[in-house]
Amino acid sequence: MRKTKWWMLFSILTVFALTFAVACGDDDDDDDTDGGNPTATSDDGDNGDNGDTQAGGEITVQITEPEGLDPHFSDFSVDITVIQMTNRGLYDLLPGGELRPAMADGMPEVSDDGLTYTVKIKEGLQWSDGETLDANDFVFGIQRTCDPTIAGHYQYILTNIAGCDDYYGGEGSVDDVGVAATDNNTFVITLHTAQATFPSLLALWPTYPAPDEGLASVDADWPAPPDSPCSGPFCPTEWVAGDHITLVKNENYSLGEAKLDKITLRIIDDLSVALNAYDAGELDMIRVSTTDLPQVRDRDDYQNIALPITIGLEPLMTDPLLKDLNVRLALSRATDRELLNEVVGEGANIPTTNWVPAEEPGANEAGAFDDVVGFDAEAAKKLLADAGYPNGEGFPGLTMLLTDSEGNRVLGEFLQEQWKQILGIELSIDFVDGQTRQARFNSSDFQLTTGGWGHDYPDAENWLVGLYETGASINKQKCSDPEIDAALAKAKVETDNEARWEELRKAERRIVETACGMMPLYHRGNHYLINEKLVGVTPTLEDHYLPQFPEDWALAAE
Amino acid sequence: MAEAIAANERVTIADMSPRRHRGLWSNAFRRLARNRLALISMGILLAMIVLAILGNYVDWVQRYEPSAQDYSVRRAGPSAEHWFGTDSLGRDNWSRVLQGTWISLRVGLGVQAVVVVIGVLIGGTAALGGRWLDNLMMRLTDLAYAFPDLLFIILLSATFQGRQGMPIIGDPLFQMILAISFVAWVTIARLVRGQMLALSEQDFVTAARATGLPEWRIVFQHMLPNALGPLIVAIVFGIPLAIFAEAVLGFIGIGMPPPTASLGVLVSNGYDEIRTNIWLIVFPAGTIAIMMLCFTFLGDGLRDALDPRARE
Amino acid sequence: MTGYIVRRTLWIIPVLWAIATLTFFLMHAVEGGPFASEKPVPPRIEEALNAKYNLDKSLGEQYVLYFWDLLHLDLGTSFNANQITVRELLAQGLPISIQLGVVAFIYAVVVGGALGVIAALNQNRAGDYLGVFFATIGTAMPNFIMASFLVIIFSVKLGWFAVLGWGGPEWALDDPTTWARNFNPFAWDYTRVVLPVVALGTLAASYIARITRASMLEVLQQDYVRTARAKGLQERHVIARHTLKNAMVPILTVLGPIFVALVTGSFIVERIFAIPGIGRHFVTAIFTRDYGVIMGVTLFYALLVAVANLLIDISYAVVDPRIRYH
Repeated sequence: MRKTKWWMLFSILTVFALTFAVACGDDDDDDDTDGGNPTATSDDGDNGDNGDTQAGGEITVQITEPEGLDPHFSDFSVDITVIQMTNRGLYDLLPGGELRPAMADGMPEVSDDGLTYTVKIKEGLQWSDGETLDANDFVFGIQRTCDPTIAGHYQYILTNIAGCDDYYGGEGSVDDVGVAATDNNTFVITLHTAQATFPSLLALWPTYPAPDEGLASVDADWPAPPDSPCSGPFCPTEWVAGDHITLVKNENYSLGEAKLDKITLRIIDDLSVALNAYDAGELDMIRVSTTDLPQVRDRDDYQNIALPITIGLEPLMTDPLLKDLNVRLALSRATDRELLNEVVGEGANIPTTNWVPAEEPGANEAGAFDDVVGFDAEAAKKLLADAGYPNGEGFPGLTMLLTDSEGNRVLGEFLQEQWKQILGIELSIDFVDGQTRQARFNSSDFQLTTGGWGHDYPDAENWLVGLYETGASINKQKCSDPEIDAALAKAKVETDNEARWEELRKAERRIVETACGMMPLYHRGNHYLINEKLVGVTPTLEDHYLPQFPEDWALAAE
Repeated sequence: MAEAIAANERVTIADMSPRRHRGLWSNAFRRLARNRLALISMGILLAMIVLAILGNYVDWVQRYEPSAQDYSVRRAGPSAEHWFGTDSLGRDNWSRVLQGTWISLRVGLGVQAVVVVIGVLIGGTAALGGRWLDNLMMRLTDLAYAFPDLLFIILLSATFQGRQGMPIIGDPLFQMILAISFVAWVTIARLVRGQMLALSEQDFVTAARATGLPEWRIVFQHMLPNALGPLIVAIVFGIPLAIFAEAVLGFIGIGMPPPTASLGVLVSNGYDEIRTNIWLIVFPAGTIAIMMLCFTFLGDGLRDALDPRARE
Repeated sequence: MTGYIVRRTLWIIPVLWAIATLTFFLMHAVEGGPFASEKPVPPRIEEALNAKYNLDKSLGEQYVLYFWDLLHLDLGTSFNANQITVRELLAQGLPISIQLGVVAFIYAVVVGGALGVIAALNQNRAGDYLGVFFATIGTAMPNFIMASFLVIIFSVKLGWFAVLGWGGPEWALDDPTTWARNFNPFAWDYTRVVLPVVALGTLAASYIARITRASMLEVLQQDYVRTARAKGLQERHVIARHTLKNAMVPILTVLGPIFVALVTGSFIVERIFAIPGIGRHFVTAIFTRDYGVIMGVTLFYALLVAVANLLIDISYAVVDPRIRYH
């Protein structure tokens, strides 16, 4: 009796499984095999609507999981990438730093004292649901960024707007924030001090509009897809965690029409998985990890978009060992950046000793500090001897805090070996995950770590102010130097660009030459594989996960 | 998988009756000696252990320092100079695989050592400590048994990370062993309890009790030796599972810190470069495969040899 | 028997509580919090964020609050992915992980069982070697290595299968009307099923093959089989009537634990195929300190394991007489 039962169970399982197997055999996969046949790319590139592209079409693009899509909260490059596809602000920041009016009608009017900005916006702007998008929405957006409940992580960029800091800090009220609409198409921003770079900020997501009628109050949560307010060329209609975000063309986009009908952002954390999927024709654009570079860099669909991002070593300035300038300089001069780029970066980055990339307005010229901090093994040995550790004798332990990733593992092992060879010192590595690294960095609980910066807007100011003054909030390396403080204080209030940049150059020189919390190693490149059928993808100079301006992307005509 | 295999050992081993405690060992050796697959596996394992030890402490076996970098031979395939090729920093893969093998073996054996101690203590207490203790210990075992084990190992490893330099738990190898042991002791505990309960009913134990021997001596002199067979089988099956768990941790990025290379870390590196330099994954993965197979075959052989039910 | 089942069922509650407690304190012992951010956030704002999620309270208070919410079946919110609730996340991910685990289990049973039987009936002949070979490969290859090779060979090079995602039909745990979709063979996209299932199930299949082969060989040597053969019964008949069902007992005893291991152990396969299952969410959550998700997934898995163990033990109790008399 019981035996029969077991037997039946097994039979049922077998039948069930056979059904599967049979059905499986019948199935023909009709996957379009478009990944395999390369089509000629149109070289005229830009967004002209010539006959080379087809109307509509869908693409699938790799991304990692965003944390949220609230433009007034986010500081995470993946979030910002998506936000810039689904929302749009007053201006577009073009590569090279030029501002192009987007929703604004021309450039802002600035008062003579530089404290009042009057911005006119275009007529007839709309949200994706057809509601009017007017000046009040922009005012509302800026108020949201300054709102303490929203706790915008990029609020600091608006710190110069009157009343914003107070409100954010819980002391003022939203009515005191220096932004107000004078009519439906005009609003006025009041600043604390004149700031030459302020117009650039009007291109960034913290100043994007928020629907003052769509949201219940200024501190209301930004709704999740499909209800997210949408003012950009594409609107998010679905977000399945760990799977994908669907963006469809915004039919009510006020600034023209996107060429593609749909972009699926496929969430894949593992770049080697993404590469497999790309090569199998399932994705049209992916990021490529450094370890995969050797096998893709000769392909026609590979693009390296060098970014103004600097990565370097960050010593804690209050550390008993590292507060010795000679030790810091010894470490910097014992690091062969060319070799590092070749071995660790697969030759795809730009070795440097500059902190502010040379092409940024107000930067020092490339290589300006090579003589002081650049690679020189003999000089490094001498510096270490001067510090009292000839050939590394008596050198106390040095520990580097590193986020666990394949690239960092190789970087750490490279430095371990190089410093051992040249300086005769042992470097140990504390390998932790991202959250631990961040927590320790924020509490200045480390000796040496790697870190870097990518600009929010192209100007040396963005690389220095708020990062290296004594007590500045991001200055976790605790760099404290009167010369730097003085130069940055002057630069902050100076409105004449040349004079301002002069101060900034002075500050950068001092920071790099004294390795005050930063020893630059390289400017990072971003590597993409982009399906050659996909045209109109222009390089972007921002630290975003994907290139900007998806409204210009189109599929080449068959 | 760990749980699946472990649970099976629990069942089949628990079936073994420990009756024939005399002559068991000689019979077992005879049977094992006739099992060619198990013998070959044992031979290969011994050779690997010897090689791994030599490869970590004897220069001419090791040939290169595992962390020494030579940028002129990056990503080379196998050659006379570099038998297993080199990685992206030009490090010799042969010496790194040897280093990794030794670490993985220590993880495998270390986990079993910890597991046996915990398992025997808990299982023994349950079997011999009376009804109340038995209940408590077995409920504890149920508890540990209900953990999704690999996920729990990951959580524990995350808890340990960044605590290098702390006393005792600061050692990465020990952390790894501890994390894996934490979920792996259940099998042994259940096994020991079952064995002990069965044994305490046996005549020779009753006889020993009658002579007035203290309980702990009965346990150590009479009962443990008789429970040893199934225990050894369980241990041998447990080693590859621990090695496997270590590889998984390395793969998801919470393995050993650099420059130390465990097999898990090596496989994870190799996975990243699988399409650029396939040799980087072939050798460590092959080593894991050989170890897993050999321990499995040896375990099969030992079970057959030590299982009194197996009749000729 | 009934008393035993009731007692064991009630026992699941304290087990879950203990596991939840341990997980709770362990995950808070992991260094770093969920809101570490590179840009400067004034302390006041960070406090506000922490207060929003009760992270400003003492661990003990957080613990009490969590369990209070749990009693009301509120699992909290994820800090990531637009702060969707943990419940929603589970509702999205679990059906996928369950499908993956169940199909892999069926694959393991059918393929492993068949190979084991073939191997045993062809002892030391070609069929045996085929089975042993398969079992060898399956045992020796950690599933992430196998998965990578499968993808590169069958998806990238040959183009037979897709790389991304899972091809099962959508269904919801709490909506029985959707369950039937799983049984419609035409609702499945097999190009997105075969590789993940093979990668996940092969180790289990090879294990089942080994057990089946050993068990069959033992039964084939039993007297009653010899008797049956001596009586002149057809070989096919002997095998079907006498051998298979007796060889089944040891195999059945491992199926429960294998099922549990497959359903809870899919996170690596989920990562390599970018399948949005619950295992992958768990691993991500550990790295991002997404406390609510860690707790939610652990609790659900623990519940699943506990129920499965209960069923296994009950089935042992049912099968037990046979084992003893066998």
